[in-house]
Amino acid sequence: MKLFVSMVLLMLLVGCQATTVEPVTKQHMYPRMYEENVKTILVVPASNRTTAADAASLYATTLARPLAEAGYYVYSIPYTKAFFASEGIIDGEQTKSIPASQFNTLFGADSVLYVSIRDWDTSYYVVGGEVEVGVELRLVSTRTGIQLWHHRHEISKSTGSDDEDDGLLAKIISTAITTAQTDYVPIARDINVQVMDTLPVGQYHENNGKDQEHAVSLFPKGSKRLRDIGEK
Amino acid sequence: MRKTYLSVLLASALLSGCTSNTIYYWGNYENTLYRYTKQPGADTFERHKRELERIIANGQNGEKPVPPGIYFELGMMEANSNNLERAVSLFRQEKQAYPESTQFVDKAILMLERKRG
Repeated sequence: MKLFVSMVLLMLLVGCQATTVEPVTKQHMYPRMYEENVKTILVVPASNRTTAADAASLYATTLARPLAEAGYYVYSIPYTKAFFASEGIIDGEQTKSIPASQFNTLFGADSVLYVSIRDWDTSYYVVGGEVEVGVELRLVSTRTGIQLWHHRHEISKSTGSDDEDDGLLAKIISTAITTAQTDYVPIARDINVQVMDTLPVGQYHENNGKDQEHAVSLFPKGSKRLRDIGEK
Repeated sequence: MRKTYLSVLLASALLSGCTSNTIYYWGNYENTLYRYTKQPGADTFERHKRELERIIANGQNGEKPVPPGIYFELGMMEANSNNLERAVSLFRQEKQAYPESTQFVDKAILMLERKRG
């Protein structure tokens, strides 16, 4: 009985979500992406807004694959990082004063992806812990300087012990161990999968130029457009 | 409601289809790059380099192409090991596979030649 009720609740929940989200398409959310016909993406060093010194370079290792799989040519991220470092640019904040058109002059890039790492934390409470990763991605045209696509998303994973039979001390110890071992990178990869699903696909993807009507199921945080569009 | 439930099922089936159905062959790329980034050293460098070689061999013989940037990345690693000829040859393969990389790659070749003196 309990199971039945929770299943009905779950279905209701799923139902609600699907109806609000259904009408919003990629074309509606990101019209510029279709106008500009972007082929290449330059990922510049990330701005690290966290206290974890290696967050930006570790997160950067997760980006090439999902962007390439979305059909874009992605300039080698390790090399781009080394190139900027040789110019004295380590953190993304330093790239903000560079006009986007400069990346076209330098590399021939159609677009530039600005990454900001907002959360890369572990928190503990008595019998549980949580690992949180949050990123903001902004794709800007190097031809017009206009923002083409934008997303901000965070995921937190609980690392507490699930074993009801464990004593309190065992729980505390096991939480400390799992939280220390839980890596941020798999969580970052999960974020990328969800976020990149909203990106209109590029020339190497079979749906290139055909995904205008695909629904966007994830919305940028604080987006007011969600309500406007949903009520239409 | 049954309809929405079905469509959610369908959507998740499609979604999971997408993740396994990739355009490129990636091998273990993300993991070896991650380890090399986390702990740079001769061992992690070699492992990542070997993985790039494997991805290229697989991409050239298999059904899925070599992903963008892989020839180039291996080229940079060869350049760092002072194998400049192999580096330039890999850079040319990157351009051949992905002509849109031409300006970027030519710039890297120029910098390499300048470094060589």
